[in-house]
Amino acid sequence: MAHAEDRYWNRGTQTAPREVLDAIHLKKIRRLVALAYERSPVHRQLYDDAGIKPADIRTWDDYFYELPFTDKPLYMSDQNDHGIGGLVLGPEHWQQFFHTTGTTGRFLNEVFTQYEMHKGGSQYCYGLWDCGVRPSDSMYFCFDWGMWIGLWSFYWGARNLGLTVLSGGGMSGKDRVRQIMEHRPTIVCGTPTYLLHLAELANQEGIDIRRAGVRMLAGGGEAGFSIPITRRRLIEAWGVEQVYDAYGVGEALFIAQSCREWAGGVHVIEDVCHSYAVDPATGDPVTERGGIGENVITSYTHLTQPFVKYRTHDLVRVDASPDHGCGWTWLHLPGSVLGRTDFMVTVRGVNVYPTAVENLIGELPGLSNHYELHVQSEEGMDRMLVKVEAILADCDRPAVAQRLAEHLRTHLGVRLEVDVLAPGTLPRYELKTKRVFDHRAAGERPQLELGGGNR
Amino acid sequence: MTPAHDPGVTPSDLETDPKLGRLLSLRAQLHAERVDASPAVTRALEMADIYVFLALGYLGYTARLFPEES
Repeated sequence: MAHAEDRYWNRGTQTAPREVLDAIHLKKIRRLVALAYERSPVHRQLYDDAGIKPADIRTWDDYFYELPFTDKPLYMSDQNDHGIGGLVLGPEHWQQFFHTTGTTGRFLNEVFTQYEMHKGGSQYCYGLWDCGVRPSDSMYFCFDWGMWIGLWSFYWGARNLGLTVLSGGGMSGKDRVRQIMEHRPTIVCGTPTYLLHLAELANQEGIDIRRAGVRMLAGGGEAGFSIPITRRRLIEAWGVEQVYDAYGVGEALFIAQSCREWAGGVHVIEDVCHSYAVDPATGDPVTERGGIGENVITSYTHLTQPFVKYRTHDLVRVDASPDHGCGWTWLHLPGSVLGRTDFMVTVRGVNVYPTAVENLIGELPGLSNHYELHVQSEEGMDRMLVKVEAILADCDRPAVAQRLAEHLRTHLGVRLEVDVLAPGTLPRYELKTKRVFDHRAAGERPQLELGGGNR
Repeated sequence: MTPAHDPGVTPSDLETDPKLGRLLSLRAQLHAERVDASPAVTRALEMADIYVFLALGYLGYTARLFPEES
């Protein structure tokens, strides 16, 4: 039996000094580079083109400054030729097939071995265990078990921790509400937007979802679990004690999780990946505490298709010395994902992050959590239109829009266009909610190239 | 494969963490039991190996990255 009184899932590494962690990382990375070079033709070509052999990667400087980055197009190109990109293990080893959500335009095919699914599941155990989740708990899943890996990996996390699994697959929202009321799971898993939608549905049905006894909401796929105002709405709507956040990268699963002391972000699960932030313009590591950069990862979970020094295009703020009292020594990413390098919007010189806009919308009474951000370019200048639903049908929408525009201007330092819509106008999604609509032509979007020779 | 035959594990590794050595021995035993086993038993042992390998990972084992690499 696991030591239920130990707050850490794996104290040995979870609280290890940085130098111990870095030594383990470097050994794994060197081994992974060798594996990719030996078994994946696309990686070998990449490294050969850069004049790099695995034996050349001996130090962190070698990794940071000599080893080439990998990026999605590399895998997509190989996928076009061979069905799956960057493979090192054949079908006799595969356990399950997935693809990414296609947020960036095209699905990336992914295969995982049995070991990788278990390892991927283990990524959840660190944070859930820290939050007091034990095998006596149960997890209800609000999704339809499709090809997107996101919540599948949560299922493997539940298996790994020994939770009772309750499936909400193939159900309508109302049916899910009834099941939750009947089975009283301790954890309900879904995207933040969908969980708020379920609470709305329950309310419409005259059901007080807070009486289901749910203790924790968990999930990911969107930024909402890291946004204070959305967390507060979830806590109020469900009457839960905890909201559990997980940051996922489709290629490497949910690589960061929140801890019990939630300090506004997530910890990188350093047993399963290495993560660091780079300046998107130069490719150099961001070294100052709290600096923002693009998250670059090496996964120790997804090995059938190695992702080594892989560009996530997620903008993160890295705190390498978290001191918010949890005792974890693993990197902390305050605010989780702040934005995307391929969705950078600069309005009159101000960088606008979608997560900041969501939080500010939530601070104004009378507005729902259903919103969209539309970006277009006019005469070389980015413009952002915020569309958000009012809660009440009979409110003075122009006046509310004026208040929101002023609120955004005060806190972001720039005026955005605002359109307040009638309730129920915007589409609802079960999985990742589409928030951002970039209407700029390809040539009008920022082109960020990582600098340096091999980089 | 015994701990002594695992090229990525040094004697000092085993001194630092005796559990690592014991788990590597257990893994070697699981592999040995696959000889002359039925398909059913072989697969069950492979599954057991996956779990043992997870445990090795928690201990910071870096000599191999995944079970099938052996």
